[in-house]
Amino acid sequence: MKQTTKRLSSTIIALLFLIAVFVIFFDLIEPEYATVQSLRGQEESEQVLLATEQNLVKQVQGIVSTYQSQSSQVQEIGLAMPVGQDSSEAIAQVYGIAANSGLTIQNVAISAQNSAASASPSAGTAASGGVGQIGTIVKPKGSLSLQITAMGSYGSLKAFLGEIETNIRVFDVTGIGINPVASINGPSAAGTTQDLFTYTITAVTYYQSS
Amino acid sequence: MPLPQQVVEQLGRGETSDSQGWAWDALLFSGGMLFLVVAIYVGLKFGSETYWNNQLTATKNAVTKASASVSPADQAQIVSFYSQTANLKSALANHQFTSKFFSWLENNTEANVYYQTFQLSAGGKVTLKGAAKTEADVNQQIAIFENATSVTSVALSGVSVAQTGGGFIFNVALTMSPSVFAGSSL
Repeated sequence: MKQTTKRLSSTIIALLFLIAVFVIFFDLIEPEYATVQSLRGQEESEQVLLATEQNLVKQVQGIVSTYQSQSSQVQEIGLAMPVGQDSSEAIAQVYGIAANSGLTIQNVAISAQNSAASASPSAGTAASGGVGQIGTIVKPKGSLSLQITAMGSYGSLKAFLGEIETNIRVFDVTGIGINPVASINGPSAAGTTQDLFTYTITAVTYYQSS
Repeated sequence: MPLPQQVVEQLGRGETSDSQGWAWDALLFSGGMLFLVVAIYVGLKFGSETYWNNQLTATKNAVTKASASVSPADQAQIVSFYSQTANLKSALANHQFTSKFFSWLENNTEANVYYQTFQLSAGGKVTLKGAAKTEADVNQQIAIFENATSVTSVALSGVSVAQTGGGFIFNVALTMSPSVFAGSSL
């Protein structure tokens, strides 16, 4: 081969190599580098997520162990705000309180009211740690309305109200009707009154929807 | 004077050797560059990318494992318990103490007045049918209601002489302040 031919072919090959270098750099290396950078970014964000997750898991495990170690308090919360209507228990408590206070129950009618989500944003944010999903995890609160017809003295009514208001299951007395059982002689007549009345008491109690 | 033939040959040989050396150097340089970029690409593709993919998979597995370390049953228990406490807090915040109203009424009733019927309904509305010894007692009783800070409105709907036993019968509607039924003392 002539020297000039060798020289020309070497130059052409060198040029082809340089072109190949540019092609590989821009078409292969650059996208590949971007892919690797993207993977590194994902890995870093996953590491942050993992650290957050591990921290949360530690907190939740602490809460779970506290929850499991305080069964009596958990039971009390369950009595105060039962999961599900538990209407038979509500009626039994009303009868028990009436018996203790000397009121004679004649009838108890019970009706469920519409469930509504509990409006307690302050409690929510405190427990969520600012996650902002608390409104969705608080299960709705339902209520039962009890229409109680009873008979007894005024003192027994006051005792009944005092007990039902401080009962472990929350009862709100929203309405009371009082009527005398028999004709009442005013103080201006015989000077005596008959201390026996019929009561229509409306009480609302709450439960957590299951 | 022309150069001798030997000198001419020597000069021609030297120029050829330099030109060929330059081309060879360019070939070596470009070949070296090519090798380098291929090596970088292979390193990125089969070294870095594989490494970071493995790292990412391992981290994702660790996240999944961490999430699964609290059992769904425990999660459900905690969520339910949290809901119970939040709902209980809400219920207690609005808890009514109706018995307090009776204490208030006893303390704000005139000595010669008693009540025959009583109706308490939502919104703190109270309807009373009272009996009084004299008309002055009725007036005194209404004045007590009107002056009470816990009463937001008083509406006397009628006063009549009692059919039996003498005295006066009156009907009054009160609207009570919510503080009367609240947990704090009157």
